[in-house]
Amino acid sequence: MYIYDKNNIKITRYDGNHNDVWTPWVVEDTVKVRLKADWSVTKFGLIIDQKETRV
Amino acid sequence: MRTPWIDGDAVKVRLRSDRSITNFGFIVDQKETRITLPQLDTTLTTASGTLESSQNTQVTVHVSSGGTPVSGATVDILASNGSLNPATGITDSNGDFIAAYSASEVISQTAVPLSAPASKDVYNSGSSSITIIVNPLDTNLVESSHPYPNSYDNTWTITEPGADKIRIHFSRL
Repeated sequence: MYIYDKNNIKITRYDGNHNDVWTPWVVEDTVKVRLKADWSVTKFGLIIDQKETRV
Repeated sequence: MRTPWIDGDAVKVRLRSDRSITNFGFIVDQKETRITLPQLDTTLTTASGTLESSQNTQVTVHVSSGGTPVSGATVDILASNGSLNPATGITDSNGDFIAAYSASEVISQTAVPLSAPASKDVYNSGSSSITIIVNPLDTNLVESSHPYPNSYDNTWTITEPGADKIRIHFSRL
């Protein structure tokens, strides 16, 4: 799973199973989340339950 | 014996006799009056008509009578949901009473009626009402299918307009 900023610059990547994870702060007002799997893998997926912003 | 009601603030009684008659005359022993009180006109406005759960907005109650602001009127603001601070007060020299409304956390979109009765001596009381819409908390901002299918590829965009930076929390991934 990949985290991008609004200009599609990759911020970080997560592999495997995790619980209770905050992403790094992403500059500006948008964060993109890409979940990409190949044909051989299927797992739980993701739940985003909070967002935090700074002005 | 009572006279009919007479408009205005005066009634005149004339006793007139001719040269041949003299009788007892009369005694007026009571007077009764009615005063029509001016009406208080109340207007209730909010800075925002739609709130998110736990969000605040300013509530203004303007009290006037015949187009003239009325100071010193007692105002109560009543809400079926959420809280007001203060909930009771006195209008200022502009006829305004200002309070803050805090929405409670709701689990579905909720219409919250607010009402504001106002009263003052020598006026007929007035009242106004308005409805605020409160939106529920986003319990999950984004959720994929569980489990996601093979060869899944999806991108979600999460935006908070005006923010200088943003981060998100995964309860599970």
